[in-house]
Amino acid sequence: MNPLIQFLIETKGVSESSITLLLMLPLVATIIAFWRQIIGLRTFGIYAPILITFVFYQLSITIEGSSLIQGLKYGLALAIVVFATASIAHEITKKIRLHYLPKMSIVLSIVTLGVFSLFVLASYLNKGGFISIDTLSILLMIAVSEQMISMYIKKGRKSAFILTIGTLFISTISYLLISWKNLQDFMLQYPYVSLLTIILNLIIGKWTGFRLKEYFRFKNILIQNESD
Amino acid sequence: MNPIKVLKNSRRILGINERNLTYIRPYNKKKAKRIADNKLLTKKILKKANIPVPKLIASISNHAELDRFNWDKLPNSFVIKPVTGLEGGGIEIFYNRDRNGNWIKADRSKINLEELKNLARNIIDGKYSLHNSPDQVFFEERVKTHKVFKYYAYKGAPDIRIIVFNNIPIMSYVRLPTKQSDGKANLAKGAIGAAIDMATGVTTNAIIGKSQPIETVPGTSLRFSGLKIPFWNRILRYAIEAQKATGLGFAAIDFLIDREKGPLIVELNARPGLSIQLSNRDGLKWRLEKAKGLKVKSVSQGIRLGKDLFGGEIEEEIENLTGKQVIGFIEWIYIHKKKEDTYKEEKTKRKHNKKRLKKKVKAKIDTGALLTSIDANLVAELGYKSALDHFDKFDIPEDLTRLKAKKLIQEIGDKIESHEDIVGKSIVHSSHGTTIRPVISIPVKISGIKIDIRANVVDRSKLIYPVIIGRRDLSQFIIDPTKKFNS
Repeated sequence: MNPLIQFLIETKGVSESSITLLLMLPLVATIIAFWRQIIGLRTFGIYAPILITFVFYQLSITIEGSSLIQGLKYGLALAIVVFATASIAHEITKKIRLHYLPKMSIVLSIVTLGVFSLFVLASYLNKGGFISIDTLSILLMIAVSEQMISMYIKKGRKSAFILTIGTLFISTISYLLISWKNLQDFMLQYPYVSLLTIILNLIIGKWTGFRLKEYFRFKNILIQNESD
Repeated sequence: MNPIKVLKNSRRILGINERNLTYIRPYNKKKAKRIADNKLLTKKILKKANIPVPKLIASISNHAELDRFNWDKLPNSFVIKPVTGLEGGGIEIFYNRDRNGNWIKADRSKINLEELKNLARNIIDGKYSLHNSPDQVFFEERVKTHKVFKYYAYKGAPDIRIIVFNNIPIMSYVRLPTKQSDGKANLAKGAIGAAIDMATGVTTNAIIGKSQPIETVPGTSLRFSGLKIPFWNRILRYAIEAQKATGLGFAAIDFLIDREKGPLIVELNARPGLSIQLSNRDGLKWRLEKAKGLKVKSVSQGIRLGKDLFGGEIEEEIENLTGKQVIGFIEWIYIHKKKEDTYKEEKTKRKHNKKRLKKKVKAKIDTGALLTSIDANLVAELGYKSALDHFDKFDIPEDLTRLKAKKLIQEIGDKIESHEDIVGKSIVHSSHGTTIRPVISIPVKISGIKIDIRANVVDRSKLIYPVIIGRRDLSQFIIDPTKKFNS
């Protein structure tokens, strides 16, 4: 372990998972940037997928250690319940034409109700792991649902759905990456590696080539014979 | 799929990353973007520059103003819009008002005063604005769609977009609303995008939705190509003037064409979309690169450059259809000098005189003549002097009769053709009498196409064009009588 990190964790008592998460954050942000600029997959901005990734990570922590499957299972269940109830709540409130903030308030209330019933269900099924989930994770997920609804209003159902899928996809990949034990140890040993992402982002940030998606978008004109 | 072709084509097409980094950031400054993003400000600035826009009826900037607003002063027909709206969100068009005071939309559905107020409130609350920030509402006159679009557009008004860069119009298309798009001129919703030839203002290739090619108006045999956009030159002029007035370096200028007022600018866009490339079946990238760095001194020069550099799709279409090249009635042609003769001199002078191998001359494309004629002096210059000397030896008189000429040909025809460069002889009847001319075969290049012309040689030094190309040598071309100098 890097001496500075060792000092922080072992002498000063900073939690290891906090340090790991902090070191991983630039990595996750880089993945999201890469997917947007080079592949062309869109998400709800950059912070929504980061938040979801860390919610997944929090949910994977159990008393005995961490469980990759549990994080994914509970995380996706929570995300789907939150996004589904938010969409339904939006569809209902759309008909009565309300101002944006009161409407959002109603949507968030219904989402909370949905999460609440998830708790009821979990306690019925004796899923201890889900019941012990921390409040902040739930709040983060609910906060992200506002982004989704705002996209829903602006771009319609289909775009919001595609964006939700894209966001969950990237979050899952990022989650799997940051849960990888070898990578965690590596980052704790060489924490400065996370600074290398700056160089990667400089390259991504100056990239003016096609996004992978654009090869499909412009397929018709890419395969035509040059006319002159 | 051929990867080399894809790679080659991809160098002509503009992608999102490059658009943002190479064109929007450096060419659209914050101040200019602010104008384009605010429709009221756009209107004000364009009006000041004497560029026509739809007339503003009223605007509301906050809830207090909304409460005081006198709704009865609105006319029966108008459009309500958010000032900073995105992608046409929040826009409603009202065609009339019924006896109960309800406004009527295009699809005949009605909206009452309370509903209209609610729409205005939502707009002010930022429902349709970027990041949901508070917005303003404005009302403007409804543009009455020009009648040429009657059979092409469903309900809503077609929207003509010109992409301008560096004061040169570089690409254009018209978006035609369909039933599928619910009368909205939005391709993502299923509207039709028809490319417009920059030179002529005539539509060419069309797509429906995001990329599906379409040829005719659904349910009819009316073709989307060949529609002449009215006021084309004025549209190009206003587009360049709008760019100058706002300071946007790379912009999409959207027009509606009013039946009485002509073209009106409804919106400027500082982040032009890229699907215009799919309609045009061509990339923006090479056009931007070509337009970059050109010094455009005036609006009319910008129009001319746009037409010359990026127009001509119509001709291309005809060329693709017939496999023939379109040329004008006067063309520059390139004639190669005869190889054997030039060889010796060229060996020493090659470095300086490479260009002299070819000669560029004006030629008249004359469908009234069967045979091609070429000036004797020019032929001599090109290295066929010995052929002319050979012909002169026969000392054929200038004014023959038809009968005499025929006889003469029978007598000495074979002797004339004995020179290697002379491939025939022709009897030409004109108002000056009948003459016999030698015919030689010369390789030439007309508008990029190489052909061997069979030309009769005569002294044309007193005439404007040293070469006349006749019908027999024009089988690979289509002639546009309004055009001069293709290349």
